[in-house]
Parts: sequence; C-alpha cells; structure tokens
Amino acid sequence: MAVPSIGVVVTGLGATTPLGGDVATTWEGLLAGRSGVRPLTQDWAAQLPVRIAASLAQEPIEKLARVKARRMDRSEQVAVVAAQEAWADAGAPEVDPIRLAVAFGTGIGGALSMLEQDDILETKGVRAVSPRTIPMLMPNGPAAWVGLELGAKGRVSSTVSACASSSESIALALSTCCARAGTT
Amino acid sequence: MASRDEIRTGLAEILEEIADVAPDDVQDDKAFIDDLDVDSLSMVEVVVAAEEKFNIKIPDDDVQNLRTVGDAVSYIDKAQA
Repeated sequence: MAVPSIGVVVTGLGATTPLGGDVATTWEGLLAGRSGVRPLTQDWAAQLPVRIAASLAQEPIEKLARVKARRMDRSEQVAVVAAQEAWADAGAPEVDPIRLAVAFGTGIGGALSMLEQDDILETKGVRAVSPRTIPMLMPNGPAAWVGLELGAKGRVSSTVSACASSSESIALALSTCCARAGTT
Repeated sequence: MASRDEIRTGLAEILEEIADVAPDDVQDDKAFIDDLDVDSLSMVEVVVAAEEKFNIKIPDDDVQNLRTVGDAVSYIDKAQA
C-alpha cells in the first residue's frame, strides 16, 4: 500500500467515557489510575452473572437539548456529545460544508432503541412504534447525527467492525483525505 | 370526558414533550406544520400520544385532515362523545 503523502493534523479532541464526560476529566482519571468500572444496579442487570461494567460517567442527555435527545439513540447522543467537544476544541472553524466529512465508528449502533421499540411493538402494537425507529437504530446513525450537527456535506460514513470500529474510522478518514488530495 | 379547553391543554403538553412547541403557541388557528413547525414524523408521534391520552382512535385517513390545533381539538371532542 502506498504511503500517503499528505500530513494529518489532529485539531480537536472530544470524549465521553467511563472516566468522565469530557476529555479533561477522562485524561485526569487516566493519569490518576482510576477505574471506570462500576456496579450495574439497574433491574435488567439483576439476572446477569456479572454485574459490573464500564458504563458512562455522565449521561449524554445532560449535554443535549431535551427534544433533540429524545430523537436520538444513546449511541447517537454519545457521538454528538463527543463530536461537539472536538469541534469546539478545534475552535469551531468556518468550513465549506462540501469539504467537511465525518468518519465515525460504532460497534453496534442503536441496539437499545431496537430493543425498546420491540417491547413497544409487543405491548402496545404496531401503531405505537416510533416513526424514528430506523434512524435511531441504524449503525450509521451516530455518523449521520454528527454530520447533521456540523453541517458536513462532503462525506458521512460509518465503520462497523467490533472493537476495531474506531481505528477503521480513522483509517477511513485518512483515505477520504487522500482521495480528496488525489494521492491514492 | 375532557372539555375543549382540557383537550387543548392536553395537546399542548404532548406538543411540548414531542416537538418542543411552547404551550402558549398552541391556539386553535395554528397549523401544526406551517405555524408550529411540527414535522411529519413528529406528527405521527403526536397522533399516537393523543390516542393514548384521550383514549380514542384516530385512523390514518383522518390524520391528514387535522391541519390546525382547532381541527384536532374538534376531532378529539367528537371522538370522545
């Protein structure tokens, strides 16, 4: 494979993790050697043999407008929260939308919405199923929401490859840049 | 059975929850899509929520006739009877 001849600059960081709701708290937690693993106390976890997990330290809905948040799956909320921080960290630059692309990886996408809407289908019938079910459960939903929030019109893509999703999305972003620059 | 005022108030609660419409804007002459900026997907959610709240059925064929808040209040008022 040809080595790309263009440079890549990381201009902004964003994160919401089991250690904190932003990059600063996450970094501080990492340096302090804190664990993000905590007990799962929810009812649905009662039957599980293992009841610990590294769940998010801060609920994403705390950082989103209420009505917008109810239209998103949790995976989309998390994506938008992290992307907004990264965009702000980069100085929220004015960019030609055609030159702005999103590459965002996810392991599954909107599994929670799929389960929730299936429960509604079973208990209340088909008419009660949300008309937003597809945009909430589709794996490219997080990338789509980030694209909508930032006004990206260049390319909005998702990689779905288990634990390697984010690494592959970075590779996808690089190849998108290379294609733009005409180096591949 | 809810009065017209109670129906309008109930609709305002639904519209605020689903589409972020300010309750004071929910007046009989306001059109859901043109005036209150309720998109078509939200309209589907509003209809289902109204069915549940007022214990009525609103067939899909009737939904397209509910252009304004007043249309919906009258429809629900009649459907409850």
